[in-house]
Amino acid sequence: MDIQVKRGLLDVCVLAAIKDEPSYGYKIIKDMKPYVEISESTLYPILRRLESARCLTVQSSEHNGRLRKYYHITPQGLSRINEFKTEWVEILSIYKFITKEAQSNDQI
Amino acid sequence: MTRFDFLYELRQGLKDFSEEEIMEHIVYYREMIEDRMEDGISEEDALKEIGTPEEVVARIYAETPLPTLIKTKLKKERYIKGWQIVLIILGSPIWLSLLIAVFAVFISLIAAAFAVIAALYTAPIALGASSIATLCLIIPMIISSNIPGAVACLGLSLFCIGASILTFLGINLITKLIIKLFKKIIKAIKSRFIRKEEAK
Repeated sequence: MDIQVKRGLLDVCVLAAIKDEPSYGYKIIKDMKPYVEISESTLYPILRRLESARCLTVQSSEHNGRLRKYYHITPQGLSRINEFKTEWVEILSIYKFITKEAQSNDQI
Repeated sequence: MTRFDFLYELRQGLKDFSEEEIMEHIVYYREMIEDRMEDGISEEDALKEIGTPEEVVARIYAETPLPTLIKTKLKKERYIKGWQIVLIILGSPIWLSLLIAVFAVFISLIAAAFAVIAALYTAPIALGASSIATLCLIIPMIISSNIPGAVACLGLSLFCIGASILTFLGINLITKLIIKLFKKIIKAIKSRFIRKEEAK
């Protein structure tokens, strides 16, 4: 997949993974795994980017005698997800057009 | 390999980054490994899933934007230059005198080589000069009608010219050899420096 497209999609995926409740790195990767596999080195820059865009905040809390970073979604993060949903309607219609044209060409 | 070995190697691999960024990566990867272990994965398998420290370092470099990479590198280099300057100034009594000594030895070597060449050339010059002198002697000998003397002088003069030319040719050859040798020495010094640069 095109790197730019994938990067934009993964940003939204990570936001979706922390939408309902704050989550931590390993859980985000595990939750996304059935849909899209990402490595920790891919996740790290995404988290940094979303943090500097104020789409999420980071809070360290104690867990089993060590610190774990929890990522909390912000209102900006939520509106980013909604933006994606409306964009997706547009992308979907583009997709429909592409597949329809490709199909009619196949028949000829 | 334990997670601490992994994190140590990660730190070594990220030397170009600022201390703050290195710590962030270490905290991040430590959490990732420990969360896996808590999930029931063995330390060994958790490290396998994450990859070798070299792979992780390579991916971190690939993910870091180039301007940030250059900035952190420049910062680090400036820092190193700072203490290097201090060392250079403190060490100047030692290295400056050493440098002067090395330079002096080198100059004296060149001077010695030139002196040898110059000394060698005095032989054909002296022979040439004596041939001219003996040639000049012929005139007073002819005036005083000392024919055998004049013939002897002419022979001596011719011999001197011949010897002069022969020694001149021989010395030219020697000079060329000396210059070749010098070039070789300079080349050897140069290649040693270049190799040192590469090793860095």
